[in-house]
Amino acid sequence: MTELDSRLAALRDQAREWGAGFAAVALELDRDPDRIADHLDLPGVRFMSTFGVPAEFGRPPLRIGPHRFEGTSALERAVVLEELARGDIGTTLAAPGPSMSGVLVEQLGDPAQREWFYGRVLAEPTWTCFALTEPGHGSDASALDTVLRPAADGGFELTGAKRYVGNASRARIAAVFARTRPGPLGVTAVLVDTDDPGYRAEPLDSLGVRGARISAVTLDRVRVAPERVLGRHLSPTRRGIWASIQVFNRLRPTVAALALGIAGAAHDLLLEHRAAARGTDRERIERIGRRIGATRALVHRAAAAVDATGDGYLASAAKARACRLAEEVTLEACELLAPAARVTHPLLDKLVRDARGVEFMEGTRNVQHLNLFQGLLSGRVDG
Amino acid sequence: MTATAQAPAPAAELQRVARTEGLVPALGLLLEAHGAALPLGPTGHALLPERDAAPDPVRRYPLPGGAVVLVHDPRAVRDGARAVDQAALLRLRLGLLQGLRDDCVAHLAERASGESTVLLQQLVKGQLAEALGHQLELAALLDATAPRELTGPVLRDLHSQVTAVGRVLLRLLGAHGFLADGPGATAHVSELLADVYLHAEEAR
Repeated sequence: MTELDSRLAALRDQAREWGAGFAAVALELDRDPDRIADHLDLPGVRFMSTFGVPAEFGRPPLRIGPHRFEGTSALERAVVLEELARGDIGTTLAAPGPSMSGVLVEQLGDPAQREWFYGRVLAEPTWTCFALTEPGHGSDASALDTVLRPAADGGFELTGAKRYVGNASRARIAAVFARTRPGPLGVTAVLVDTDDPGYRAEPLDSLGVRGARISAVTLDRVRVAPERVLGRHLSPTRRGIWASIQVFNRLRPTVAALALGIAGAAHDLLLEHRAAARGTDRERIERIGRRIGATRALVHRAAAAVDATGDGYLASAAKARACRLAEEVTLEACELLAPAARVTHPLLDKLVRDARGVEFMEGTRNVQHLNLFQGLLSGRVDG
Repeated sequence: MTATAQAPAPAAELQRVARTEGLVPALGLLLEAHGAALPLGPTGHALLPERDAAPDPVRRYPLPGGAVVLVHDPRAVRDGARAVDQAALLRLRLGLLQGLRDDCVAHLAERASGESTVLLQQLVKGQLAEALGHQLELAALLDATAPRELTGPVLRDLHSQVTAVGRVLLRLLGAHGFLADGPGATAHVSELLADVYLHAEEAR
């Protein structure tokens, strides 16, 4: 079921190999996320450090056999990130690279901004972060409190607070969402050099996905030069909340793929440790495999839809289904693996905790359902 | 652009007819594809449009769009009944499920709740979206699955998921979905299709 074409299958197989390297360090990073610094030479981490940088900036595209990959399509990202997260979502998200900010820069950056951002990312392993979520409003971009105010010298000052931002304490570049005025056209994003005065990020101790090192960020009158305001070459309607929604649509299948990877890792553990299972247990394990295949079909369809049209309703369905899958499969794996499975199989314990983490990324299940309902009501999604 | 699940043409047509015209025309299409040999379930039971069946059926279901009857031919068990096209049967049930969702949305949009409608209550939105998400997944899976992959456990799984999503929608319809001549009755016969045409678990 859900067979990939030979090109994407080659990419998947390569990513699976990289993911195996992540699995080997998963528990170490879970204990101490800072140990990522010792693993920057893992092939998968090296790949992630430039994944999504367009070839025009001098990054040689990935070549596997006769195939060439730019890494800029949502479908390619979904295929790669499922396999990496199947190895370890913590290492996947701990890796330096353009990550979510790269998608934002691709959507909104002018030539000089792209040059600056990708130039830094290519020069050395560079962590970036995507600072949207706020303490009072979650990831609701229309309710931002962080403000970007004009300064006397023609630049801007950025003031506010962000929370649950992955890699914010490691990042050298932060993509920060803020508001210039009330209303949907007042939403904007800026690139911040985290060495600049006023930027502070403190890691938050989390239950799962610990490699991502989610952090609380305070922005105290951080200076922002006009050339760091993303979308400055676009009209307000093209750089406001509309642009943010386009970016979130592109990211959503990726988050769904991370959840698929967690479910796949739990299934792999069952196949390894319950290879001799018979009867009902065998059927349950097989059913888990089928469920993963079914959700993968939806995730890939959603990613293809985002690539084709930018439409994110299917992606909302995919994200909601995949997060549910990850939670249910990891819990079912506990039942099937052994008594006290979470104690005797630390990797499964980590997966159970990680599965809860993807729920909060890029909108919870309830948020995705409300978005999907809007698609149903407007006739833009059907199935 | 509408993000619609794209099924292969005949399957898509069967699904469309089931959704928009109802069970009887869709069942007619399904049976037509089998030619003269009537497909029967493993116990010799079949569900047919009333017009195509002999008198004295085991049961009769007067559905919107025409009546369906349950018939039984015990000789078929001995002689080896012809199996139904399982991929087509799933498409038909998926179409009925879409039709049930359409009925549900229309019904709830008509019902007042305070200053608004029941449809726009957050709990209702959430449950409808959950059902839709599951339907989208089933459609994506069916499009990616070859008929030869529809083995016993896979079929049982898929049919039970179609039934489960239908039950979510039926709960949203409330007592309106409990009437013998409404959308709940079609959903009931849709469940019966799986019951009649699936092989029993012990036959795995």
